[in-house]
Amino acid sequence: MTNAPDLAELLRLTAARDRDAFSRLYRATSAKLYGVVSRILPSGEASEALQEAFVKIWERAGDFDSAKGSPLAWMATIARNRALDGARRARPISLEDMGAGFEPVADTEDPLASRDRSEGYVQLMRCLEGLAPERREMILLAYYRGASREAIARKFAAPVGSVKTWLRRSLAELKVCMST
Amino acid sequence: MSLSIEDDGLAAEFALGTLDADERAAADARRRVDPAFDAAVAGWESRLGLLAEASPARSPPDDLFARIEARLGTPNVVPLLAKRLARWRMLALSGGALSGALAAALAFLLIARAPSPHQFVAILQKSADAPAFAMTVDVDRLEFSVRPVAAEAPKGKSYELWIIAPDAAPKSLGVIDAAARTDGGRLTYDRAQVRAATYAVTLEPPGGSPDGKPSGAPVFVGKLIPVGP
Repeated sequence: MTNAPDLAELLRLTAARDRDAFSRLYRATSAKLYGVVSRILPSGEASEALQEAFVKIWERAGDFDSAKGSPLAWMATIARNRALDGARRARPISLEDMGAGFEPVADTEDPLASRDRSEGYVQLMRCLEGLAPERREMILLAYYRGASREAIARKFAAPVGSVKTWLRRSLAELKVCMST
Repeated sequence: MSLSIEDDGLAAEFALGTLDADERAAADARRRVDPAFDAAVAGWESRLGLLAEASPARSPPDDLFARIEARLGTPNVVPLLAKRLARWRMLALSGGALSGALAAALAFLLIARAPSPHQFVAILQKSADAPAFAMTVDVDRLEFSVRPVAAEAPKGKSYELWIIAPDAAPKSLGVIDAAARTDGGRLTYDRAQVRAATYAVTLEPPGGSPDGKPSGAPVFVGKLIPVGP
């Protein structure tokens, strides 16, 4: 770890109602989390979802348990769940104007960019590489773009039932791979 | 642990986000009443959440942190749900594609009741266009009433209403008679809990759950939305 901020420590201080720590937490992670939600929702809704997410992070910071996962994964889950709730409620998502995958290009400087990838991430990537390329793309589209089964089915011109089967099989394979 | 392959797959898809609105709402409600399922979802969330490390950064609007700070310590107002209510209100006024049942619920919620800052409603539903019960809650007096909109319990079953306060086990608010509305029920939680709780309806044996716990996952769920200004 270079000079990236210690997110777990900032969360611990936030749980103790330290507004300054919360502000530092926001500065360290908001661009990353906005990157997550703004690829799922249009910009107006994305900033609303991010706002909701940070209020929830403030309220729930005490629930974070470093034994159960990384601070960023925990925060991203809160932000993504907000975004997905909004996306599923609003309209059927269309992948028509989405690219072939997600574009790994940052629009802004990422305060977390200097951070080494965690061991968990490296392992997840290794396991994802074990999947057939199409199956891997489905998982990444779902995670990064919030694609539903229906949207994936349209994009891959496959029946929704098959997509469900593929997704579940791929996820089960990932779980086995990551536990070894 | 003891979760079936099917249920673990559902937990995984919930965490991945591929479920549609109905399945997602049902799975979300199930998390609150089924600890094994909730633990499975949390496991999947921490596994898949690692992908966020590679998510490209993007600058949020400059004023966002100020807006967040302004909300810290104020009650959670569920703005997305409030937006949905506003949309219904608009539909009702324009007389657009609105089912008779939904129109009746809106009349009950928006016209029959004089809006006050203490007045909240919850539409208990499976999906946005299929409300089953309309509930009103006076957060100041801690009173609630509930009326069926389009719900009829299957033969030999009763609908039972539950309050699920944050970090608390579901507590019964009584059996709902599908033919008539229930008025003047009392809530024994504090105001903040009543406000933040999820309200859910389960199918139970006639007369309600025998052991005071929901016997299955909720069939309809909703959260409170402010009615007044």
